[in-house]
Amino acid sequence: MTLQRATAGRVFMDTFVSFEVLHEDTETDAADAAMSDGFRWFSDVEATCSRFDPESELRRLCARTGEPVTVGPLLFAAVSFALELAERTGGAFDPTVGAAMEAAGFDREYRSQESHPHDAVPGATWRDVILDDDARTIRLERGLTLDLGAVAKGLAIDLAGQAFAPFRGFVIDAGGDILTGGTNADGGPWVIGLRDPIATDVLAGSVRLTDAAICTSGGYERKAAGGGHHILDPRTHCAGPSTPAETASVTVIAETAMAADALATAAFVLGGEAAIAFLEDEGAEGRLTTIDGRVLATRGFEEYWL
Amino acid sequence: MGAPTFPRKGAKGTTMADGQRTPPGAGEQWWRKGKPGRLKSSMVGISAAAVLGVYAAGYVSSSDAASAGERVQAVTPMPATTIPGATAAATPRATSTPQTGTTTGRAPTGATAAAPTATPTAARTTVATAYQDGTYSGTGAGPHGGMTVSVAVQGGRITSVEITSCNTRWPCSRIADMPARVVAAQSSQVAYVTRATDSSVAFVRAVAAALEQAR
Repeated sequence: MTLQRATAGRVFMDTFVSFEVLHEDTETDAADAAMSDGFRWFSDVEATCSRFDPESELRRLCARTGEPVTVGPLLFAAVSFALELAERTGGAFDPTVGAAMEAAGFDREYRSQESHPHDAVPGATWRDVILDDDARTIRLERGLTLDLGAVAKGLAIDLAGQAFAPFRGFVIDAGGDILTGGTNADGGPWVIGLRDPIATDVLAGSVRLTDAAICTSGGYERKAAGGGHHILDPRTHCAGPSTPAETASVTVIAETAMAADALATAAFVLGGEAAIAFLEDEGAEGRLTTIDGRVLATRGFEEYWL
Repeated sequence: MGAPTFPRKGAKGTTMADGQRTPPGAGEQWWRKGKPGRLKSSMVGISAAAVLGVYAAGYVSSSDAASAGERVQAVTPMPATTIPGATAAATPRATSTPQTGTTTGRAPTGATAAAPTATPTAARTTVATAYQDGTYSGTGAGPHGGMTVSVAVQGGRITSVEITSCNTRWPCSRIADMPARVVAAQSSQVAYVTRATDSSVAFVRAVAAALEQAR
């Protein structure tokens, strides 16, 4: 048996998604099928959770106010997770910032560059979203736009990761949000670089990972037309150097990409020691760099350094 | 070989020494037990349970190939139709997927049981177990220019990496520490960068190109 490396990539959710799967040559068909499954999960999650597609299940949910709406397991899981995180961060993370995102200029569907604004009342918060776990319904108390950007991509990564679990090793890279499984071709852990948030041309270092995800929230990419970065402080609806001022970037390692991505976003807004303490409480490791170059990290993070 | 040094600023309350650090429980695959800890009640624990639940429920919908008409009616329960890997053929997604940018690779094999639809074209290479001794040159390009590296392999291990030419818009000194990292990692697989893009890409690609010859 010889080890095979299969790779494939496609565009989903405004980013390039690549799979690398290591498998024995007897597993070629299974690996191809798993890659199909993986892309299918991305496609499903995007079709369900897109904030830009007026026909997505998410947008159809947001079009209805004041009544419980039964939703599928995927959307319910994503919203439920986002609300739990909102509660635990006291609203520092808030999936109802959608309207503010649109106002800040992040209102374009990336393929068509078409804008699909719709009626949302300013001032909505996560408390206006009511879940019923038993009935699997979601009720919006007022018009609002849910933004699952910090949750959906991670969920898609994790679902694809489930499809790859049987193989020797795999890496899923969705625009820098990365899930690793098993081992690399040499039987060792996967090596993932961390981009330096200030001198963005260089790496701040590398970590060794297996069966874990690593995601980074930073203010240095995806600038909106007005120049602000893409993470808004839901408490002020502001972005950029004026609010989550101190944080240049946060990198989080966790068992799932959904947790790593969402916790990185939350930690970015929380900032400082509060962010580090929060990550430790929630079972993740993280490393935060401030704009002036200070580095804070959870106690366990350095164990991953190469 | 020189120990890799990182521009560490020191984690909370710890002064970290530069240079090679022996991880806790060194030796036997320490990283296998290096998983982040989690409590069931933590956000990480909740996320892990959520992923398993959604995965078990199967694909959500007919998804991206569904027509707008199909979707309009269904704010109500989404039919959780197929189990992954089972009857994906029944769903109408397929050749008209709107995704762009499929990477190169083989033609679809048609051999995949689960998805006779638009099988992603996977590029596939055989992975050799060790590098062959020798010195290899590789060139890589990124959005900000390209570079050439020379990689030496001795006894099946990468012993040195040298940047032999650098045509990037930024000074090459910026990645002066990356060759040592490749030696430490025994791989160009620093290929994955969380929040990747731009400049170190050229370096990583150059090393990967060199090592491709050593396989």
